[in-house]
Amino acid sequence: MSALSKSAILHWLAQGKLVVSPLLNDDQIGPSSIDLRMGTMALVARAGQNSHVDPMEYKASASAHERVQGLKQKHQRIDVPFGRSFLLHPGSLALVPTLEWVMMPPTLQGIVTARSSWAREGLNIASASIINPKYRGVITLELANFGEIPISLRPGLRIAQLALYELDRRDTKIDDAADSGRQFDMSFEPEPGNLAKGDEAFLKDE
Amino acid sequence: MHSPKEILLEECGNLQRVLDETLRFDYGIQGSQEFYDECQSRLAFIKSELLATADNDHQNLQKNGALLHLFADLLSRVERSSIEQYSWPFVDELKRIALPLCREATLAGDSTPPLFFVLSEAGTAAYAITPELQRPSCASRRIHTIRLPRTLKHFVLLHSILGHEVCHAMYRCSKHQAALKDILDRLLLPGSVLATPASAAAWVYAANAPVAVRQQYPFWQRQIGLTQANIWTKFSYPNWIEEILCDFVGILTFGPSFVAAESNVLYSLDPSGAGLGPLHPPPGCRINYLLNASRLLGFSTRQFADAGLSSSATELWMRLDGKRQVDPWFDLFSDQTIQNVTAALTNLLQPLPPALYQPPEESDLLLFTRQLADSVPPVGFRLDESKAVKCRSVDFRSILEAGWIAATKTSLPFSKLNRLCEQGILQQQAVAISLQPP
Repeated sequence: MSALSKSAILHWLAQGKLVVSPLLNDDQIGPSSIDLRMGTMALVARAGQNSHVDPMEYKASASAHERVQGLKQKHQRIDVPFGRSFLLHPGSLALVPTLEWVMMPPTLQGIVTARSSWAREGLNIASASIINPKYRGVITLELANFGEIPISLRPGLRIAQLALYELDRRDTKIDDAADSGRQFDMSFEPEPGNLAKGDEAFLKDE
Repeated sequence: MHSPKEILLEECGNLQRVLDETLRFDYGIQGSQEFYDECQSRLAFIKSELLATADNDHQNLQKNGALLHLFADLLSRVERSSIEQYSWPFVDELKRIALPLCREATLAGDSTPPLFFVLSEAGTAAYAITPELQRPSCASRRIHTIRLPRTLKHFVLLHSILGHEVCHAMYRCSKHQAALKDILDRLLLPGSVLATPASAAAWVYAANAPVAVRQQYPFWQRQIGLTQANIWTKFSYPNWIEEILCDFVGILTFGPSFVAAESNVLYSLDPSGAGLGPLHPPPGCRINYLLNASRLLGFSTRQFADAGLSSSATELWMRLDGKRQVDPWFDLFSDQTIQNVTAALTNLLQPLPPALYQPPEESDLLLFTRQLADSVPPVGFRLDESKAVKCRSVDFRSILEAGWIAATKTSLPFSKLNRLCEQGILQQQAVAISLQPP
């Protein structure tokens, strides 16, 4: 597995097999990555609304009210139109979409990190989020402010970068997998993941 | 005991507190300052009027009490809405169309723009723009309320129907009311079955009216005692006529996407298309003249060089034409009348950019429909032959039109198609910003 260079990225984009749309200028593609811009909303984790994160709440057996209320009250939604700003306070976690729509071909994997200039200001974007082959949608950036002063973020700013890696072999299971049915297929905005999915066996009450 | 004046002054204080409460959240794209300032000045005006009113001046106390009630109604609406409940990228574009149409003279200037407040409530039938009819003083800016269905937050393809609603606000605007009435009286009505209230009543109760229409007579008779003789005391003839005028403004502002949206929304509310109602003519009539206008304006007959695009566009218009009512009772206007009306309205809208719909370039429609076919939001971005980034500004109505064309071939659910188009409109705003000179 090797990282794609700028010319390789451009080749994939020009063929239409990889989609990162829209790119607003040529500089958005670096030597081995594509810069990603902040989208126009944020889900900010609400301290005080919940006592703790509990995977039990995600179980299918939990009541609809409990499950949905837990998910909906976990975050405060803030829409941030262009020209306005959003303050990420120290210690806060926010889920933010990219402006770009991304479609990965079956043979590429992406890794998202913060741009170094923002990281130096204290902005952290999860630790190397993986974008799976055949993913399509906006990418959710899990932003945290590790510094001591609030960071003002504006939609359209380049805050993250996507590095791309070619898989060492083509997996026909990925090729043939249906696009629908995956947890985050065609994501238009961030949403909490399902902590229980696939691990229900470990979430039984004694 | 408090005097009526004291109670009303107390209410002024209450309203000030509620007004301040509205600043707890964002309810507009451009923030809340304009609304807050306008509301502050309205409240100050009413309060000063009240203070100057004698305790025994019942007439003026009642008048200002009514103004306070209207103001409280406005504030409660403001408090019920927030930006996260509606598609603000769409509304932002809609306002660009509506603002030049609704400017009017006030003490603040000859061409004062109104404010548009957005409220999200109810479902499919909620689409409306409620013009503000009464203001505390002529210095104030009107505050029109755009009502979007809460359930259809992301359904931007259906939101094209607001092209019709924009005209209702325009019709209440002193600057264009006379011109619009002139088009109605001089061009639209003469020679049609709706020429006069009497001829319109005769048409509703005509012996050759479709069965679906005649079946409604007993229902309305039972409900409100409706007969041919009293129909316009129970139903509103001016409303029916205004609805028709607004349909023509809708098609001229939003183009083909308006026809598609209106036919989908109206038939979802009245599947027979023959429904009589107090405020609206039967949907079937409206769809018929919109389809005729589409042909006369060249929308439905437009040829494309690309075979795929041409086939999809033809399919769209065939599907829309499938909604046409074949009974000639539904045909209200001759081709000549439609041509005269659309020409006059075009002349009115042309100097008020960007109100008038401009047919998209084929290359844009082709790009957008291909993007949608690949499940990518339609946006004016591509790599050129040398793999350089090429972005261009594109009117959001081109995205909507491409959405409706793509709907004929895609396997995507309608909800996803709408979200892709909404995302495209949002991304297009970023493209426009990036193309601005530094």
